[in-house]
Amino acid sequence: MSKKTDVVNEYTRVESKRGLSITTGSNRVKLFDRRVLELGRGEYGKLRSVIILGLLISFSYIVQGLLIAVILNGVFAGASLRNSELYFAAVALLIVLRWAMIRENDRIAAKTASSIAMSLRRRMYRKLYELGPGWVSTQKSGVIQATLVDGAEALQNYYGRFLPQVIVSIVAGVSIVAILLHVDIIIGLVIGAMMIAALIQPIAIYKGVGKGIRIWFVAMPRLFAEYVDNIQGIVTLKSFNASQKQGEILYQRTNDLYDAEIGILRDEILWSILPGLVAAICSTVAIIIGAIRMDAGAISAEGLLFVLLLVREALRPVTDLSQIIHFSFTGMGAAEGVLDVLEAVPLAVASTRTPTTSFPPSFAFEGVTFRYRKTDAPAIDNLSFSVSPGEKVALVGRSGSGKTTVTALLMRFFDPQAGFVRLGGEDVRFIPADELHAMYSIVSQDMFLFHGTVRENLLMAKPTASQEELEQAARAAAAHKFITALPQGYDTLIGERGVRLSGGERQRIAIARAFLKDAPILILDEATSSVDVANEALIRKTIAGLARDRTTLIISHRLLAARDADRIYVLEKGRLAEAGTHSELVGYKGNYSALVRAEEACI
Amino acid sequence: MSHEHSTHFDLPVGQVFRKVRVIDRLLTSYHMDLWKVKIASIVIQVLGILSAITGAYLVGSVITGVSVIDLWPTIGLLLLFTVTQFGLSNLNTYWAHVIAFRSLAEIRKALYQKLDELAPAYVIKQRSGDLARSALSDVNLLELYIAHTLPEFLQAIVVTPLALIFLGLIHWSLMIALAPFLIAAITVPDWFARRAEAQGKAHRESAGTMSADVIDYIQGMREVVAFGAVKLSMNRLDASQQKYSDTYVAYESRSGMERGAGDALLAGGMVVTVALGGWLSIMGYMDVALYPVAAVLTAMAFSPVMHLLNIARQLSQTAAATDRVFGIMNTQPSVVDRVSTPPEGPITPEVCFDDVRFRYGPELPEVLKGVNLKVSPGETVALVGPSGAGKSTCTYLLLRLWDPAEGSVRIDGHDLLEFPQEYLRDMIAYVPQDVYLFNMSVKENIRIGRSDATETEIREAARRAFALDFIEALPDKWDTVLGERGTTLSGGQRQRIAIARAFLKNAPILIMDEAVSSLDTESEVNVRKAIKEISSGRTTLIVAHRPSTIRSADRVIMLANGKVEENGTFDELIAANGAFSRLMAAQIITQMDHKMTTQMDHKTTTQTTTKMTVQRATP
Repeated sequence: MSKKTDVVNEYTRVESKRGLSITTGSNRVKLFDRRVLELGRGEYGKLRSVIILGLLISFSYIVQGLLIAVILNGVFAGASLRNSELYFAAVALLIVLRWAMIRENDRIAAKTASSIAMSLRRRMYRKLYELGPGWVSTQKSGVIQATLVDGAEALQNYYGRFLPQVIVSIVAGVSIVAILLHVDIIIGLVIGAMMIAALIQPIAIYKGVGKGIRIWFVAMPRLFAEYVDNIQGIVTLKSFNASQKQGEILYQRTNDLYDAEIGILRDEILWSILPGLVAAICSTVAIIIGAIRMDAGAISAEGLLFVLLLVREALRPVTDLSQIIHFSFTGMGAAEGVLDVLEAVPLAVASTRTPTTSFPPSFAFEGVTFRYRKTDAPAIDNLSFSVSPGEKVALVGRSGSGKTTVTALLMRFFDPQAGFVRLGGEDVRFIPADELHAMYSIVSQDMFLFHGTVRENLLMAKPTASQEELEQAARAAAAHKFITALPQGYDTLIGERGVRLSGGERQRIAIARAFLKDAPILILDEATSSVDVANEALIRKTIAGLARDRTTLIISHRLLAARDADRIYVLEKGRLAEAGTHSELVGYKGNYSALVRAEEACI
Repeated sequence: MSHEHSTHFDLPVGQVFRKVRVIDRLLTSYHMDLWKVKIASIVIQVLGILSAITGAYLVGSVITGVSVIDLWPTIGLLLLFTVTQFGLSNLNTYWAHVIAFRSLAEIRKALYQKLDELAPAYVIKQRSGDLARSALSDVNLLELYIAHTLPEFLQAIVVTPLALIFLGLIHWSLMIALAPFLIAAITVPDWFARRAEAQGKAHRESAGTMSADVIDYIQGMREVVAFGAVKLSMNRLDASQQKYSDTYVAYESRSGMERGAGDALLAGGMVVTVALGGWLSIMGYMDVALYPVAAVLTAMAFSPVMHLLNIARQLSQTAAATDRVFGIMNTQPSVVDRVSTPPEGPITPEVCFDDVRFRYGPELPEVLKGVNLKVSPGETVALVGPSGAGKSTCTYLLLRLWDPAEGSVRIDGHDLLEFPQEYLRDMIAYVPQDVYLFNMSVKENIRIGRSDATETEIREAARRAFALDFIEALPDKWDTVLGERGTTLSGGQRQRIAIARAFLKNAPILIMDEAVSSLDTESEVNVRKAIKEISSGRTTLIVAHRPSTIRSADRVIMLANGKVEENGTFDELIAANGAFSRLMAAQIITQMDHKMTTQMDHKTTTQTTTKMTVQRATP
């Protein structure tokens, strides 16, 4: 037990340090949680036909049981089967009808469930867009994907199957108990008690194992992460003969998972033993009581046959529900993740101001201080600088000096803790996000290409662009030639993350995208650093074309790119260390000239 | 908790038997325990039948006028059966799950060991996420099999015949009349097997597309936001979601029809028993007290068949997962130990490639086409050449991550095959191009180099790798967690961590694959110093891209098209005016150009220097 608690504590500690909460069990979700039920609001109308069909199917079983009891009773009374012909016909009709209803029920349930999942995914998509890349970057990679794909899937079963089944089971169960009460009060009460016990069972189990399941949801991703880590680093491990040593951590994680699983199992059995026993023994007890009551003359033979056949039916709503309960367990685990996304507060609060016409392409930092986490040293420390329309300004400094954070703040992926970021003189917090983003084109070292055709990747910058415009942009980015050489030209599918293209080719598509977007401000964030030497000259040339007539911010750890800028800012530990033109800074003999000398030494 | 409810094929029942046997092979070490579970499962079901029969018999007897006093033994038996069944099934659930989870844990460990053995040849072909998913989700499905499918399967194949036999004991004609309904029910999944398979496939494919779209959206979030392209992404999601939903609904409709068919056959069988049994009772061919028993037995004969149909559905998924796990377990590693002990006597760190030919797969082009090279003890050789020339491949062969197809790689004249892999890798320190940082502290990341290193040794290794300054500037210094979920380091810092690992290992041979992409200037200087420090006194083979690195090597070997094209000192090769000097020219000219202009700037601006005022905002 203490070991399990350790797992949770340690995990929660590590994760909370990074501001994460998904799958750490921070949301304690109950089986019928108000927040989860509210999450499904707007979807419940869709459940009506599933519930009605479910009830019809349940009642057809009850009626069938009653009809057969009547037939059996006739046989015991010694009457001819001829008298029961009508009953046989009714049962046959029921059977055929039910066949059709079951098919329709499965179809509608699937349709309803998946339409709920679709709407949940859509809501999360929109929410993620609001939350923006800043928030996404604070989350563990893989968790959001899992929430959107698997989480929605698990919840679709909770809403689409579990909730309707709860209603169907309760209504069908109450009806059967009512019939049995009518036959005999004692038997009706016994069966009623059994059904209540059986209905309580899953809730009791959920209560009992809820904690275990949360531990499981911690242990599982930890093992997964360990596997991924070890597999990705396996060449390193192998070359250092360290696979076994490193494997020990993985084995420990495996054992943690085993402990969690056995813990859940033990709790599940312990919590279910009493209600389970009641449910198991009650049908037997009802039959025995029925036999005694009939022997005493309290009920008729027909009544006893009702009991025999309906006791089986009384179990059906309960077993249906308990079969489906697994859906709701996974659904609950998923609900925590989904709620985390939908209830997350954007790091940068959305603007309420109405869009204005246009801004001059200038921007500025005024005394900006920003920390990624409260406890961190500031990534940007009281930074002020400004770039006027048409200027080319470079931001240089070693890795980790805060250069890329500047871009994230300009784009308002985060809001600073102090100071102002301005665009065209306006505080960016009061500019609607779409308007703000439309002002900037960014070319960075790691441009993302979507799975799709080259054309689709270009069109995202300007959905209305004509083929001519596409080609023009591609030519300007020196990409037209290699694109047309691809198997299907502009319609060639580029794989996951555009892997089938070389780094230089991907970069040129990204540059073509920036040409198409034609935004007035250009940010070059280490635009050429991941490109190999052979391609660098070409890419530098196309970027120069892109920067023409645009306000440009060049961010680089290398000075080559910064040399021709109108002004150079040198950042150090988030602070402005030096500012001036290349020649001024070289003469100043500060940080910049030291960097220049170091770079020369590399040749 | 671990059950997956995604759609999968319904297997025809005939295939179920075959699949069960395949999965059993994975669990050989648990055969004894499994037998316990198997027997208990059957006993539980027999107890269920007995209590149903006893209950129905009780009802039948009371109705036909037998006094309750005479029936107390029957009532006692009924209670005994019910309680025993309940107790045993709880116990059996526990047994089955313990076996399940225990074997899951062991299969996961075995998979890791196997993947280590197969790495990297097998591993690089797969996506690491897929492999990890195999180890977790696929293995998880086995839990479903061991703890749920297997007991239910056994019940199905034992209980139905048993119930039929009991029915036959009441009257032979009941058994005959019911058989066609049972056979029809068993074959239900065969009716639309082909359609089911096609639907399952379509659904899985659409699931893949949707998942890929979601991942694309999240990973490309920065671009989506920057381009305001949310509508575009939303449309894509809607299209793939709709497809996913459509295939799901089609699948479920067909499956619902089959479920309905099974249900109708069960009810039909019940009607037949009730009618035939009624007639037999009225005509006096059977005891009327057994009439309710016959009805209950009919239900009992069908319920395992219904289970079997559900199992056929679960099992197809489990079987596919097992196939993937087996696929990994049965893959032959391309590199295996040929000997258990290394050659006797001291080994001189002299490396030699002797007419080495190699390709990564039978259908792939030849990468090395007869490479001959030699690195003398203590010598530093730079391996250069255009991308795709086979430089990195040479380092892999020296590490024996693959074996050459022809020719041999030798250390001190011994073919690498004469060393156990572990012994060989102990002689070599490797600094890869893309340094992988594990999701552990800096300290632990460096300790990968030698697991028993002390903190002092780790510190010393970091110092010699010029990594001390930046490590001590990290938020938690030596305890800062790195890797995907931790602090990210720059390319130059990563390289220095790798060099620190190599220092710690202190092996006589060093292989280094220099990073292609540019490092920031300060890092580059430090990495260069670190390389110089670590290569001194070691036999070093370095895949080099930077002129500065190449120039500082004792000798340069130029590879092109899988062959050694030129071999000599830097100055010799430049003087020879061949491929190497052409390769260098392109790079050097760009950088020399830059250097000269900066120097000029330097001279012209020194006189006009003014001290810059640094812009600072007043707080």
